[in-house]
Amino acid sequence: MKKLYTSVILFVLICIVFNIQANGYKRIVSLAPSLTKSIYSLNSQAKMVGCTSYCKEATTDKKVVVASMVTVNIEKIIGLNPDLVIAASITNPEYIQQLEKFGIRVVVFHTPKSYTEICNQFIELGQLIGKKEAAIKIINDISSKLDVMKKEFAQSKRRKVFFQIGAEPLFTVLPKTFMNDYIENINGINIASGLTKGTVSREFVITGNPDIIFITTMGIIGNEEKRTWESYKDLSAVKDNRIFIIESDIACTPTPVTFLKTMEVIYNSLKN
Amino acid sequence: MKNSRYLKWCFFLLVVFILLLGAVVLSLSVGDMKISFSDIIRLLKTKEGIEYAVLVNLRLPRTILAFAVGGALSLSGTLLQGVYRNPLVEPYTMGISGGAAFGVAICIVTGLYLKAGAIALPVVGFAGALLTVFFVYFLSIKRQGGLSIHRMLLTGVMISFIASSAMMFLMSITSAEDVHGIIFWIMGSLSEPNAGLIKIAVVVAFAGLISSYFFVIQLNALRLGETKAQHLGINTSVTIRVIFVIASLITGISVSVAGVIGFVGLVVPHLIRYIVGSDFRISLIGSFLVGSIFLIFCDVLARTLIAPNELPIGVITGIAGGVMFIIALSSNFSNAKSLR
Amino acid sequence: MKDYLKVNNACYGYRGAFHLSDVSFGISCGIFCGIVGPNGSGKTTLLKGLTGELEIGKSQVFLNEVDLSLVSSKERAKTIAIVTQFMEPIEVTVEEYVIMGRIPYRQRFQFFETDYDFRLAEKYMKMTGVYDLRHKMLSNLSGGEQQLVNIAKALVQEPTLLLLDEPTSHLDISHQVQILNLIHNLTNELGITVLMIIHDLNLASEYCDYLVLMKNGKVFHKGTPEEVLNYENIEKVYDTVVITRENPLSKRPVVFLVSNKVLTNASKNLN
Repeated sequence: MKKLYTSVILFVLICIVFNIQANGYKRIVSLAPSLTKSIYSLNSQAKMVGCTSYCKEATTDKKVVVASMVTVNIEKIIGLNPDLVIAASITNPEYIQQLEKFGIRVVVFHTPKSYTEICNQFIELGQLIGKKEAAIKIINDISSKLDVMKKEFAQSKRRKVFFQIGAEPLFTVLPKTFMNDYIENINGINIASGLTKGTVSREFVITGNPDIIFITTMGIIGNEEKRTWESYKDLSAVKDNRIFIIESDIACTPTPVTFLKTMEVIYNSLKN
Repeated sequence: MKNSRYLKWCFFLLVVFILLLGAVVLSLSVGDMKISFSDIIRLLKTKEGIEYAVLVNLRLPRTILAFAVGGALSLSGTLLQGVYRNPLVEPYTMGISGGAAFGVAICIVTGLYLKAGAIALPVVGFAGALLTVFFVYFLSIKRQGGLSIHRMLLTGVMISFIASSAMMFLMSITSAEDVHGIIFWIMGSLSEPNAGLIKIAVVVAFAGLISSYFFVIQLNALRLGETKAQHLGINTSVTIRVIFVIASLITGISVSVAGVIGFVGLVVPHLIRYIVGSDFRISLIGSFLVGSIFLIFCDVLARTLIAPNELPIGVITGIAGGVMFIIALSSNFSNAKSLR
Repeated sequence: MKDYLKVNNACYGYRGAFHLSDVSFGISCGIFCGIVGPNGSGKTTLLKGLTGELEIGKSQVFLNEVDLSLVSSKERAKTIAIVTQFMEPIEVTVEEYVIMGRIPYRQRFQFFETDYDFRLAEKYMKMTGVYDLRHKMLSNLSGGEQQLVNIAKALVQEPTLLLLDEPTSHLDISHQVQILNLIHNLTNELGITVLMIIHDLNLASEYCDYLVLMKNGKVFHKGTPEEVLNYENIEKVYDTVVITRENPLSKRPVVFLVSNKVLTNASKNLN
């Protein structure tokens, strides 16, 4: 009898464990807008119980807001009784320690430094929520579309690119970041390829004489920056009329879906 | 007596003009793009090419702005140190930078900056500065007329504290990019693309210099203290009010266009006093020109120290000014000179 | 003789606080007048009205028959100069400091001093004996020297009325005598009218032609030193026992204070 009971209990336990493995965590709090976006692209928003104030889709869906960009409301998170909290590198490590003390699993996704890392993180996230296959499928889909675009550009001449992500101060995309992969994909050369810090002077850009300029600042500022660059009529990018504005929402968010969207915008801009 | 003193002044002004010329040429020659002195002369004739664009659209406006802001802040410091008769007073002691910075922070955090464009920052900054000036002015009016210098100082310092706390509150609830933008503005930058703003800064700086000379005799008398100046027939309450307004306006415009550039208004007046004495007839123009030279040099450093990256100019003036101040203090110590 | 300075029922003072009560006196041109009295009797208040620091009412003070309340502060500075007890030594030379006394005479856009300004400065620095110190910084002078410089600066204002607020109280006896001798000369040689607040009754008696004794914002007595400085007046005003004698050389009254030791000895002797 005793043997029967223990084996039944063991069997149930194993089932639960496998269940979790198969179906993943069920109550997830996301502390980063990019991770929220990824969850939505995996169609698993039902599993999300908490988000930040900057997670657009989640707040529209009336998910509980537990954090701003800088501060995290630990008590609120605990009140939601989550089994997984996913965070990005901007989250203060102290908060993570506090959550772990309460026995909550916290997985930190550090800012990906390349498209490949974005993919790996996406798959890892997929695994945590039991959607590993769906994640892999999405990645393959996106990667093949990207490969098509990359092939086209691989034929054309290498061009100098300046990718601007700030106006005051003037900030450039640095090498060894995922946004640099946008430039790599179009067979471009980042004029900031030798730098380690991103605050550059306007003169530096003009000296570099880029053939293409991408600007991702938000609002009117992007247009003002474009006008400012256009006042330097001898710049290669101005002569060829290759200054493009991309929404920072899609360009600066490290998820596969937004990466593809950005590349599509870039592709369309350059092909016209 | 008179000949030796005025001769010394003329010599001083001559030296300063030469240094200013040198600073301007240096500032125009330095940068990522290689443009030498002979190139400058050639480019000014041909007016063509990307180098000309860089010279005229980037380096020249920067140099002019450094000239105007450096001069305005130093002049403001000299005026205020003369009126308050306190060597620790500088243009930001009245809380102007706090008010302007807080205005800019609100502008960035509420998204007004993105909706209205880059012009919003200087406009809101100036509004914040003006508000602060009104506060300080009206809280300091004495019953018998005139301004209480004591209360002006206290109110200014208090406003600075409140403004910085309020800004920290704003920064704690907003995004990382906004915080970066606010901090960058606070640390000061001379790379203003709007030519109209630079023109305003220059006009205001010169207007401040010329109008302060209308009161140079009164300022000289004020060195004796308010009471003794009144004994000599000076209307001290009018003088103090006008000087306060002039100093506030030129500081307010400078802060709005270039951000918070500290130490210039504190160190340069002391330097001038050390070199030519406390007579305002020479120290008004002296501090203006020396302040310009100082800021132009600091800007050259800001552009070259970690090229091609740029340091915020407030960092350079803070360190350079602070080091100069400490050196001056320690030499003063051994000479047992007073700080006045 | 017409009064050069006439104070007529003056009632001015600090708003809502201490003020004078019906102070009246008159002094002729060239008179050396001393204002004496205990602390808080209104001496400095009286002077502040004359310098313009305190507002005075109409017809309360007349200078050469002109109502002082109607005179602008600039015109006043050309007629009245004041020497106070201390000065704050600013970082200028003696020369620069003295010539600041010419500020009331500056025209609107006159940036530089005139030759006349320089000549006056030289003349009065020589008269006060500080000409040799003219290139020294003020802060390097002794208290007595600084006071002489102060007087020189007051004199270049070319005043007709010179006010002094306890100019010698903090100085040693040689400087006291030197300065008071100088001031006395000014009234004789230059015909300047002098009004001086002084604590030392004996110095006042020795040098002043006329004394105004004040108590509680009122004039207690006025007149020559002989008329004012007797033991009854002094005891009533200062509430202190004194005896007076005559100075054998100048015949002016001399005030001797009576210490406790003397009083107790005297009462012992009486018993």
